[in-house]
Amino acid sequence: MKREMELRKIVGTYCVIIVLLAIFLFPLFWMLLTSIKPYEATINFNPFVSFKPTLENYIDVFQRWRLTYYLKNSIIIATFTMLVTIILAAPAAYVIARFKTGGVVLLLWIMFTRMILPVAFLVPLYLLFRTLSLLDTYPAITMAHTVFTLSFGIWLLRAIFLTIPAEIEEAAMTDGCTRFAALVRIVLPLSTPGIVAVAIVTFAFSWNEFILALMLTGTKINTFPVVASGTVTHHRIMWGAMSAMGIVGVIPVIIITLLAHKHLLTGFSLGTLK
Amino acid sequence: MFHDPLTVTAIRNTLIFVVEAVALQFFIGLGLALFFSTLPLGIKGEAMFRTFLCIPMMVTPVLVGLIWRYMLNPLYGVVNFPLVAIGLPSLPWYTASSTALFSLVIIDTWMMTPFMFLLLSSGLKMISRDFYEAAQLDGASKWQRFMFITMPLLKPVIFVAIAIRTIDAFRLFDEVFVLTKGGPGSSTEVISIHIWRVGFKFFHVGYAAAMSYVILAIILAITVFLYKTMGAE
Repeated sequence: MKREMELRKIVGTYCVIIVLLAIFLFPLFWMLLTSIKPYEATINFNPFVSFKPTLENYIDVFQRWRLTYYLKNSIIIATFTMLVTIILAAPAAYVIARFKTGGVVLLLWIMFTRMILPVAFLVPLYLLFRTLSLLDTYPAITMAHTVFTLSFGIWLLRAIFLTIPAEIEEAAMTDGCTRFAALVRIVLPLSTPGIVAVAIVTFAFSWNEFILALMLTGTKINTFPVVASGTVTHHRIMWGAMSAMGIVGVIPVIIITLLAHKHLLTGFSLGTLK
Repeated sequence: MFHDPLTVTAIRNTLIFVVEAVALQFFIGLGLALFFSTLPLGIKGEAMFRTFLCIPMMVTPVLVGLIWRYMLNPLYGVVNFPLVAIGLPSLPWYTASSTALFSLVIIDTWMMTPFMFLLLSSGLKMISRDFYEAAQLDGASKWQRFMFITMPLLKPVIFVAIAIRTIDAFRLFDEVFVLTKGGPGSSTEVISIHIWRVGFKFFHVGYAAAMSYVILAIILAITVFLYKTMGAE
């Protein structure tokens, strides 16, 4: 009798979990389904009308929309943003953690840059890059993205560095190691989880970022979200093309989520839970 | 600025959006976190389920806006279809000014509830089992255990989760941009969209910058208020 009740409880829980997952994953499933529908089926008033699966949306997206080109842009920009952020954030976070550089004021200032709306940076960045003739170039977008990811990276790495005892570095330095070498050889390897978290969040931010990429690029180095928004035209929206692009563009972030699930928490909570 | 009715509308819309979205995400997220923390023994693949639940928050916001634009379409959207099938009227969602802002709340909730869930789950994991066992020995009911053990100990995490979500919710832009661009009328004119329109459509650059500072002040005030009321470390 008791066994039966337990079994019923387990089955019930599984059902609840499946319903929850179905709700949260339905939009992505719908995107996948739409991406293999011919245009007529996407605008049929009955969304469950039977249709002949087709790959023409994917072919369209790669040939007419030149998706490969924009994906390449996105990968270059996201990778560089990630690298620049880590290279700049690690030493900055280190001095703030160890020497209290700038005190509380600097820390709060770094926090504020996260609070400011991205659109607020648009005008100054636009004018700056126009003066420098950098509009529509890789360095411009990378720098613009770094403005946002850097504050986050410093804040997070500082929290991680604080958990590493300073004695370890001091021991290394009495053995003749320089401060910089201590950072590179001892502190950084010990904070690998934090660096991975910064890398994931930074890459995902740059990959998904839309407004800066839209306004600071012309036609040459548009990123993937910008070209995806281009499927909305005045006459009609290419639901099929949009979905096919979505599926292609979402695959990298889903892979990242599945591989690095454990680091997501550290990344998104800004290290404040530590 | 405060004499410009559209700016006032934009600030009001943003505040409504932030409050509704963060509250919804918090309660659903907390419910999910509690549900997953009290799974009966013998459930396999818990970690996998949690991971799958986190996927929405990583999806490109532009695509989130677009796919929901398709799903909520009043003519051929998949969300309206079951409503019509059982004889209810088809809802206009983002195409009517009365429901447009709430459509955005739903979209944002779909996307960012996993974030709340992730944070609150980790907070629940940090609470020691001993407290619950001791309370159970003293005869505390499930509800009492939740109110007097879970909630007080979870408070710092709740503060962090709500604060981060509030700050981020103010930045809402991409979804609105691909869904309604502020319309119909000014019903979804949130502050980011408004600043973008003023700065880049009308080229009142100084005005846009001034608004940005006002918003920063509002966000700061809210964060300080949260910090004071929740008394977190």
